[in-house]
Amino acid sequence: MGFRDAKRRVIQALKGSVFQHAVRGEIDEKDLLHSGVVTKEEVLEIVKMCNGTHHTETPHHLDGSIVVHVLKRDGWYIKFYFVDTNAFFISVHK
Amino acid sequence: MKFFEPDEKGKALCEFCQKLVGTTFSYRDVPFSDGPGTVKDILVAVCDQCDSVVSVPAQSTPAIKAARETAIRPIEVNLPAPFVEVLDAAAYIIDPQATSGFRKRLLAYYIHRCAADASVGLRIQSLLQKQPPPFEAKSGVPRKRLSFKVTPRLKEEIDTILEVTKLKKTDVIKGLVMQINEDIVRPKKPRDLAELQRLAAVVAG
Repeated sequence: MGFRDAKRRVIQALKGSVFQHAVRGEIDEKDLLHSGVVTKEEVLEIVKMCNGTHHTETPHHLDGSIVVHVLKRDGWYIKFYFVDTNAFFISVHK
Repeated sequence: MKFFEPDEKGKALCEFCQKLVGTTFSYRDVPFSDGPGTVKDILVAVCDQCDSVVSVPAQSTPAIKAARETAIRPIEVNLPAPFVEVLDAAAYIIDPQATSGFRKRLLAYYIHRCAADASVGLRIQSLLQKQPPPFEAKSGVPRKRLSFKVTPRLKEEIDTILEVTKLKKTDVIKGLVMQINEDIVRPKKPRDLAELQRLAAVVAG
C-alpha cells in the first residue's frame, strides 16, 4: 500500500471514527489523540496537508506483512497501520 | 461513527504474544502508562490468547480524557517555614473558617493566574531577586514540606510556568507565595478579596 492509499484510508477512518489505538495494556498519555488532547478533526487536518515527502513506511516488527506508516509534518508525528479494514494508531504526538 | 460492542470479534497485533491475534471487545479498567490513575470500565480489545488489552477504540477516548482530567499528580516542595505561614495567613484573611486544604486551592488559583498571564511570571521573577531575600532561611528557621495533589491540567500549568520563567519548581512556589504576600497579607485591602472569598465558599462546599 503506497502513500496515496494509506492517506485515503486513514482519512476515511478518522472521518468515520472507525479506528483504534494500539496499546500494551496501558494508556499512553503522550499519544495526544488517544488521551483526547487533540481531536480527530485536528489530526485529520494534519493528514490532509501531508504529501508523499512527509510519508515513510516500514514493515511492522511483529508481523512483516503489516505496513507501518509514519507521517511527519510541522512537528507532528503520526504513526499507524491497518489490519484488514481497521486502522490502528500507534502514536500521535508533537 | 462505528461503535464497537462488547463480545465483538476483531484482530490486532499483540505486543505480548508478539503476533497478530484474534481479539474480543470487552469492558476493562486500564491504567495510564506514566502516572497514577486508571480509566474505569472502558471498551477495549482483549487478546484472545493472553487476555491483555491490545487496543482501544476511538469511542473510549472521551472516558480517557475525563479520567485524565481527574487523575492526580503529587507536587512536593520543601520551603522555609515562613513561606507556609504566609500561605496560612492569606488563607485565614480570606476565610477564617478555611481548612488547611484551602491554602492549596489558593496556591492553585495563583498557579492558574501565573500560567495564563505572563506578567505574573515576570513579577515572581523580580520578587525572587529581591535583596535581602524575604523569608529566606536564617539559622534555626525550620523548613516545612508542602505536599499537595493536582490535576494533570494544573500540573501542565506548573510545567508552563517552569518553562517560561526558567525557574525551579521550589522557586516558582516561593515566588507565588511572595506574590500572595504582596496581594493579600501585606495590604490593608487585599486584592481580589471578594473573588477569593467566593472561591473559599465553593471549596468549603
